[in-house]
Amino acid sequence: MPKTNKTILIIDDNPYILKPLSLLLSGLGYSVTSATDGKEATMMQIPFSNLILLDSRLQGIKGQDICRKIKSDKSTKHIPIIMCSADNQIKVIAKEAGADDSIEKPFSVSDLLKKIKKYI
Amino acid sequence: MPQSKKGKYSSRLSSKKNSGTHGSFRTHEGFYRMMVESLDGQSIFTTDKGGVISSWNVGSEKLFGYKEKEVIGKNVSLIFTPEDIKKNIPQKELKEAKKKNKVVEERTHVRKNKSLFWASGLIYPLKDEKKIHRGFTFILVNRTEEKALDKRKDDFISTATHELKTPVMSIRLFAEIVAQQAKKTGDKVGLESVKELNIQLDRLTALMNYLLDVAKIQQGKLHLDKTFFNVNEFIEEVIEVIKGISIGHLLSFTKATNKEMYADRERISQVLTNLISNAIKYSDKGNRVIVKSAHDNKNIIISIRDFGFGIPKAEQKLIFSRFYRANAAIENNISGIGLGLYVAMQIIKAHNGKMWLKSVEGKGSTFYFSIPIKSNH
Repeated sequence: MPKTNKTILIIDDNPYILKPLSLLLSGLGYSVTSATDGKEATMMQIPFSNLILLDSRLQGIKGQDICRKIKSDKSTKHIPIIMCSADNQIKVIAKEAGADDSIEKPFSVSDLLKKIKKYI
Repeated sequence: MPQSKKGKYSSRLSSKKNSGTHGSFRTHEGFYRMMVESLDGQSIFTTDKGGVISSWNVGSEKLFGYKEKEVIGKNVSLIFTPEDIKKNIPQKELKEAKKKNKVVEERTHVRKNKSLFWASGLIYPLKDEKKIHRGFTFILVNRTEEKALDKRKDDFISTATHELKTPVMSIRLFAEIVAQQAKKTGDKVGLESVKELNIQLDRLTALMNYLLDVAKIQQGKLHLDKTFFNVNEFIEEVIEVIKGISIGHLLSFTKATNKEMYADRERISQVLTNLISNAIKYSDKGNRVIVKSAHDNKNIIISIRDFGFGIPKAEQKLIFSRFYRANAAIENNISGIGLGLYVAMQIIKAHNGKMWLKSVEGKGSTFYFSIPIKSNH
């Protein structure tokens, strides 16, 4: 596996997605951190991430709100964000929230990797 | 029993007719009036050629709340919603009924008390003995409850399908982990199994997307993201993807136009992919499939021709209905759920385009769809 020093932060509140996605991306050589909400602890991890995979439907908060927060902060706005959701309107949602890209669930892993490699 | 009732009527008719005492009931206006009035669960009324109401049965009084004397002489637009009147729907429907000899009427109507209900029925042109067009006959039934039930069903399908997405995603990710492990250990059976697993997951995803599309169409929520793009580049792209996954057919492309198309590229790609896949599915290996781009004054026309089983005349209209599966599909064990053409047709309709076919059984079919040309200058 190619080793990279890139860190991907996955924000998703579903453990059945978070767990395999983390395993998979770390298996591919990325360093992976994860979070399930938009609380302070999550926000603390953001500056140390090279890319963020952000689910749009989280408990208690919308992914797009987290996205806007990151993109409006000078110190974090350069970090690429790929929003993912089972919502077929995700393309529009992501665009409105200022995300760099989006992918609809269920996506194929190769499609996701293509998108990740576009940014890091 | 409807049949015995019918029998009773006809025997009564013939006996009266034969007895000659009251003349023919068939021509007796009173008899027809009695018949129409007895159907009090259905609104039956007539209008003149311009849509002015000329008769109004008890069923209409019950359904709309207007007494006969209140509506005679009024225009039929009084039972349409303001939105439909704005879109000139009443006149359009009469025009279509005259042209096509019948029009299916399924929409929201307005009662006297302004309440709304969902009606389903037909509009026929009314002709006299000399076949001269005199007006129209409306037959409407209140289907509000059925419509609500149908909506609940669509909502259920939509929600249930949506909920399936997360587990499917999870299975996909775990399958990929297994694939990576198998690659590391050189486990060929493992790798092959994951490949098959992914094919089935693709099928499941496609099926879910179709079900969601159908629900969206039913709810009138099919969203189009239109852009300008070159029709030939677009077709080549679609053909390239299909060539990658299908071997055994000779796919060729004839360019008879080079126009810009204004449409939702992804949705039209879905339509074209569906039509080419069908052409492949319903013809033997080694056969040709010809895709052609063309245009007339107003439309870009794309056609897909195959030399396969063909579609019998009687089936040609049915194949665009929801869940309809062609006999050839069932006989030849071709997989599918009978939604592809339905969804394709609805996508084209949403673009104000048309879809039709020419087919000869045993010789093959050509499917066409047209999209209106829009100038981008």
